[in-house]
Amino acid sequence: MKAIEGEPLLRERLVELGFTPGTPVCVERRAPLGDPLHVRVRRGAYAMRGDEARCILVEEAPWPAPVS
Amino acid sequence: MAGPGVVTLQATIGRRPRRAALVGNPNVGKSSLFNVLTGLRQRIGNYPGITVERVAGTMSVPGGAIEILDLPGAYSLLPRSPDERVTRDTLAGRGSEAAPDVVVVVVDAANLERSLFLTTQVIETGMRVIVALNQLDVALAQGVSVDAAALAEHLGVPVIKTCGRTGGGGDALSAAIAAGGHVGRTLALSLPGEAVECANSLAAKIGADDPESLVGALCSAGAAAAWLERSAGRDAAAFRAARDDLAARGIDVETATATARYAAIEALTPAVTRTADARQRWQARLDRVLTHPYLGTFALLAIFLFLFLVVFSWSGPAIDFVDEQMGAFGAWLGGLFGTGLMASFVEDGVVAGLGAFLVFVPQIAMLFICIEALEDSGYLARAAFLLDRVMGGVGLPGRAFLPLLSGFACAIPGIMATRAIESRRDRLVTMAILPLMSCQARLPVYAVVVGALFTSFGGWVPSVVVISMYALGIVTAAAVAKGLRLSVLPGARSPLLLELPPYRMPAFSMVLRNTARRTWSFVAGAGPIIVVLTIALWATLTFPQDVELTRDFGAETAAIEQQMTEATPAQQAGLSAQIAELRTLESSEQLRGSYMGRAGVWIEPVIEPLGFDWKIGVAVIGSFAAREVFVPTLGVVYSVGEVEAEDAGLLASMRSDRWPDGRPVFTPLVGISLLVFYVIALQCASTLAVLKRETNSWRWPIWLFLGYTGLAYLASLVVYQVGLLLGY
Repeated sequence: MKAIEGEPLLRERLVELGFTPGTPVCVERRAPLGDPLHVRVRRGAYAMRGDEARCILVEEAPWPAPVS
Repeated sequence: MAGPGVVTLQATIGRRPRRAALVGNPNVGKSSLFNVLTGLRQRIGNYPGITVERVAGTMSVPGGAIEILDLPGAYSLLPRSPDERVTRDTLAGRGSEAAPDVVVVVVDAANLERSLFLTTQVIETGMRVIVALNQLDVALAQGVSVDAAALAEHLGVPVIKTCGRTGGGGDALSAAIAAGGHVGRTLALSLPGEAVECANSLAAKIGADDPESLVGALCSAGAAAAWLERSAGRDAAAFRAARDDLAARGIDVETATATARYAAIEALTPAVTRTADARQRWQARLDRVLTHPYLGTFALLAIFLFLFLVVFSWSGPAIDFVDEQMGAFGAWLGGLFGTGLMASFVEDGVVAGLGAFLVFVPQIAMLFICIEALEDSGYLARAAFLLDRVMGGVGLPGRAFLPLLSGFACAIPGIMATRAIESRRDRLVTMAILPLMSCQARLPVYAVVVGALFTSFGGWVPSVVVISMYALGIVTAAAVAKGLRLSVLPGARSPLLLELPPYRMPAFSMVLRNTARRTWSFVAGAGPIIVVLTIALWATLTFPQDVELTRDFGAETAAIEQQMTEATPAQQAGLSAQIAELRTLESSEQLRGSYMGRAGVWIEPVIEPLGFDWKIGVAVIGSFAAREVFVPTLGVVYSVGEVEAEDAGLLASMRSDRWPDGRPVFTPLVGISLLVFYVIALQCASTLAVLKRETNSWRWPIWLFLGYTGLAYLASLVVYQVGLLLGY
């Protein structure tokens, strides 16, 4: 991932959970009706809505060796 | 934040700590460890003024006891939710009590970096720290092994390997707590030079003596907010200007500290972990099915259908047992008082009141066991994930799913479970619609009405009626939630960041303990009110005693008894039937003249458009205390004595009851009207009391009570009148 946008407290919380620039992020799947998303970062998995996920700017890259 | 605190803590070396606090990320097995340490010596309460559960216990060590606090799970010491705020304030000694002497940070070996984020924050406070390295087994299964000794060396605090699920490492951990832990080594964060520079000049400008802590406050959204809150407006302009200045120089002032902390942690982890190539495919496979758009939705429905079936079929014997025991106990206790008013008070008032809510305990406990097991397994987070969008349609967060599910057992623990919802508005919406979930207390009402009026249809009709009532509650709840979102609680839902923890086998002891806790919240929350109100109900049904009767029942009974002495055995049977009939008539007239009976008669014109007569009125009025009293009240009204929902005598009396003009009182249409009323009306004094406590005002409970009563009346009115027009 590259950077995080959005509301300050939400941005910081995302970083606290491990969404730091340069870290691989993987969208595993979407829930029925397309929202929310199942996102993996480091060794954690989170559900977040499209609104939150849009704050995380990424560039495409092959996901490294699968964890968990 | 490091500084003055360190000195006093150093001075206490050598003294056994008196209080320790457990902190850690959510889902790291913190509460399991707490149970290992404290066993059964726990106290659950509330933090004063806020509705966050305070869990404390004592741990005995050689030569005394140490109080252990189980603080709410937190990802960071910069709080985002009331729970996290409690954790921060307690560690800082800023809450209602002194700071703990030692902090046990429970670290998730399977997500070490995120755990170390919180750990390093705690170490920076200068408190004495112990690290409990937990979930090593989970980490190992993922191919990660953590070197405890190396971690201890890097952090400068004792690191104890633990396993909350098996209780492993508990003794070592309690010994470490007794020894008091260590003030750890602060991780050097490489913050941009501009930030340090800027903090120094700001410190000089406002006369602050700790530029180090100012750097932290400048470079973090949460810390900045906390700094501004603490300064209460003083130097706020200078502080904001300094942040703007930094931002203009290209520094991300909201996340710089957090990013730097992760960088430092990433530098540390290779030295303390070894990663092997072991993958846990089953977790991913399970997720592929359980969170699949179609398969997952299907699994969700199947799981909850199964859950309800299990709850209702397995708890039956336990319910019957409680019912029989309470009945026998009441009869025995009443017998001690003879046959007069006092015996009736004890048997029909006090013991019946106790029984009225104790009978729900098995079913409620059973439902909570299932919910807790699903929660502990990691599945409920997936359910919230699947349902977030659907629930979002009416403005509810996915997190509301668990409280609403609990609401099918009892609204009270459900309302208390809404504490986990961070946003106040989201929480209020959830609490407002919780009373519409068909709780266990409605089931006997459904059972009596369906039993009396719909079993004759046979086949699937009775089940469909009951299931429709559950559905009606859910649909009404969705409409009310949407309405509230569009009116008094506007705005978007708060952002969703819900952790999806790894799947695991539920820990049986944890499930039982939490079930006990939640069931107790029902017993303690609803019990006293139900008992008191049942006694009040008994009194209003029993007094006044000197009702004017239309006939002299005493004389007529005496006359028949006189005949009995001279009658043949064959005649005697007929005569005693006459006596029984006279007694029933007498108690019916007595009841009509009682305070409650008069209330029923008085209200009859209002409820007649719904198809209810005064007897139903009595039961409905009584039910506003608690729905639990509906069936017992009908039992009294129809003078069939002690009754259960399946009681044939009651059902027969209901079917044969007639209006004065000869129409039957209970038609299927009246049954539906009555059921609809019970689905919607907020007939539970305990729920109102808990709503008042959780919202800190009478506003919500009063409005909800009036709103739901009005809505129930309207709905029943429409059902009955439309039904009549259609010729039912």
